[in-house]
Amino acid sequence: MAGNYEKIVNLLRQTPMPAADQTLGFALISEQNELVPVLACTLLNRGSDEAIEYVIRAYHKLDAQIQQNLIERCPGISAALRVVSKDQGVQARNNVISIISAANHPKLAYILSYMLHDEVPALRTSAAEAFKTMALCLVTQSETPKRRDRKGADTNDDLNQFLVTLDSSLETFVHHLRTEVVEAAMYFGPLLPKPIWNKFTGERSRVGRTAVEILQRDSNVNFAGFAFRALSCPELGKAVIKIIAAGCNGDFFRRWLSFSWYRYDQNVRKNLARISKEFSWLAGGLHPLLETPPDLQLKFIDILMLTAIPAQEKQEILSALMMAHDPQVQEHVVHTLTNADLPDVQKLLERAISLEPATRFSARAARMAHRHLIRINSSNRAHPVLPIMLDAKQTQPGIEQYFDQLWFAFDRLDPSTARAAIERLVRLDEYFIDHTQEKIASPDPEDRMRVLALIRLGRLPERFAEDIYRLCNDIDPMVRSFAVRLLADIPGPATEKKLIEALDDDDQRVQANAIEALEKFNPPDIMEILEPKLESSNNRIRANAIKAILKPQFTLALRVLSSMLDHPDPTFRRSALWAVIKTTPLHLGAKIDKLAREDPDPDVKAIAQQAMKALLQNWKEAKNIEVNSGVNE
Amino acid sequence: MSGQFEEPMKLFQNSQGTTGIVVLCIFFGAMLTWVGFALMSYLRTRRLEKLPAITGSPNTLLDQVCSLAGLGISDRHLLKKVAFRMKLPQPTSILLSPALLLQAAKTWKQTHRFSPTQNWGINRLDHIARQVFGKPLSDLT
Repeated sequence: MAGNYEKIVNLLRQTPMPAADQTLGFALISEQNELVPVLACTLLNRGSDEAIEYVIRAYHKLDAQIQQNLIERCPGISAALRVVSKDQGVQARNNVISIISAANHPKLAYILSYMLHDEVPALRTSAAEAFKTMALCLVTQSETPKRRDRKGADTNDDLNQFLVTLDSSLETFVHHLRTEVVEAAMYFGPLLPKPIWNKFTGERSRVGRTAVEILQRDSNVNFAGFAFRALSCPELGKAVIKIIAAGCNGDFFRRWLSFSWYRYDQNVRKNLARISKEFSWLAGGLHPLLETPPDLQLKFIDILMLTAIPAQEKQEILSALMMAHDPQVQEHVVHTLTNADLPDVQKLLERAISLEPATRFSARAARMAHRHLIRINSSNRAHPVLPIMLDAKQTQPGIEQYFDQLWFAFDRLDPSTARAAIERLVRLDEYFIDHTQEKIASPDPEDRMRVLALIRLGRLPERFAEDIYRLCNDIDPMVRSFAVRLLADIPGPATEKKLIEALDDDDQRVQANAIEALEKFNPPDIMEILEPKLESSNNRIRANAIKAILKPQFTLALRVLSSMLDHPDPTFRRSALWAVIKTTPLHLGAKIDKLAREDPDPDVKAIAQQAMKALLQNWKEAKNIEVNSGVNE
Repeated sequence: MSGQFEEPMKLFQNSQGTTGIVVLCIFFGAMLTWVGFALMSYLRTRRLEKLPAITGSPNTLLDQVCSLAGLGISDRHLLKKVAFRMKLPQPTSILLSPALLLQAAKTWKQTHRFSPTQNWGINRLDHIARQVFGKPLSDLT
């Protein structure tokens, strides 16, 4: 340009007067032609915040080189960007988003977060998209090993900076409702600090529900880490499990493994990298998986079973993981196999059993496998397998096999065979107590009932006193009732205390059994304890109470028994007659004789006749004793 | 009859005192002047309020730049006047952008209908264009 233009521009470039920035800025905004670069460069050379603000406002008119110059100045020009983000001009605000988006610097994310509330919807969308893109780039950067090694500290700073912004953006989610922000947070799923993670997992969390919606509509592998972490949350987990089980694939696993990267040391990372890179379902390249930490392997198994991967591939991976070093993993594999619906479970379990003697395979896992096989076999057969004979030279696995056979056939064995088997086991199996306690801790009430029957049949209640005390508070009333019944065979003050507690049980069967057991101990204050039970609405409780207090409180018990014999309900009369048979009080002979002849209920009549016979028998015995004593005298 | 009209005639013949009227006129004149100035001041304030916030000293910068470009006092006066009309906070901006100079000429034409004044202004702006950009106003795009 001829004339004095260049001189003027030079003067303005060098002058310290603040008016020069405004002069150049207004000229830049008004200019459309070849003078734009000159003015923009002059302003950039001046470098003040105000000068940069004008260049930002004219960003859309600048050529690529100057735009790049401006972008490279980020995040140093954040003050100018912040001022322009509040500008009245829509174009200026759009320029701010464009610059931040191009610079992609996490330290500028807070401006985008502010712009999520912009009055122009298009700008809000642009800001949210830029926010999401920034998150994705940051995740990619964090995952790149080179970047981590070279500028690891920078990446961590950036990450922290971004997470702070993310936190505040999610805090105001209900105001801006930009799902892109939730998506951005989901990219960082495994890395999110607890305060941010709590925003997803809170009760009726809107952010959490949005995350589930996003997972439903978008099967993006970038969300694998988030989905994996969400599995451990009660509310979020339920929804996420369904989504994962329906849609995830091998890519999901790769992604998940790469997300696990941050948590482990260099050696583990190396293995994870190999898995991520070379992971192949069918090529048998699963060796690195065996080198990963056990907790990772456990989670891997859980996730594997949730996926829709073909059963054959699942089996192959489980088979490989069976060789893991950690016994917990081995047990988890066996447990998974026993609960999974896979075609060759039996073959794999047999392999697990065969591994045990040769390798360091967990004995517990082998036992679990063995029991499952027995269960499968016994359910396939029509008749129970009778326990094989044991001799003193039997090896431990053989004894354990015997225990399992007994366990699965117990309900169908006759009592004498079962008792003999239990006695043999008690004698030979050093782990019998452990096995039995394992069954006591079973979540299945049927197992707990069976083990109590086994203890009773083996006359072992005293050996399992503590377990039986615990089962007296079982959630299942049948188990409680059975346990209380066994208390009769465990003498001691602790038992009496338990029995008194059981008298107030919600279940009447438990109460009746407790009275029966208490009668056996005959405590001195039995009358006070059982008196309320004499008025019980349940006939069995009342009859048991009468029987229990009959000896110490004969008159009272007789009066109650007499009134029960006159009860209009035949069940009460039957229970009273049962108490009479058990205690044979001769004073009630006339009343029972009347019932035996006149009772309208045939059952009561029949029981009364039996009671009459018992009374007569008792009377005869008493008479004989009197005669004998007279003769002796 | 003549005695009847004697008194009114006296009234016309005797000269009256004008001091009160003069004082009244001066008072009203002063009032009008004051109101005029107040109105002008108000309008100026209103116009200034419509301008963007001004940074630094625009006049000093304009003086420096005009001195460098060889522009006289009348040019500076014109630039200030037209920048005010264009709501530009810095008159110097006109010297940096051909687009602004063209807009200044357009604004001058619109605001000054009296032909000699209009011509004077356009001539001055053409002079400025030649001094700064080395082209006549008509060649600027």
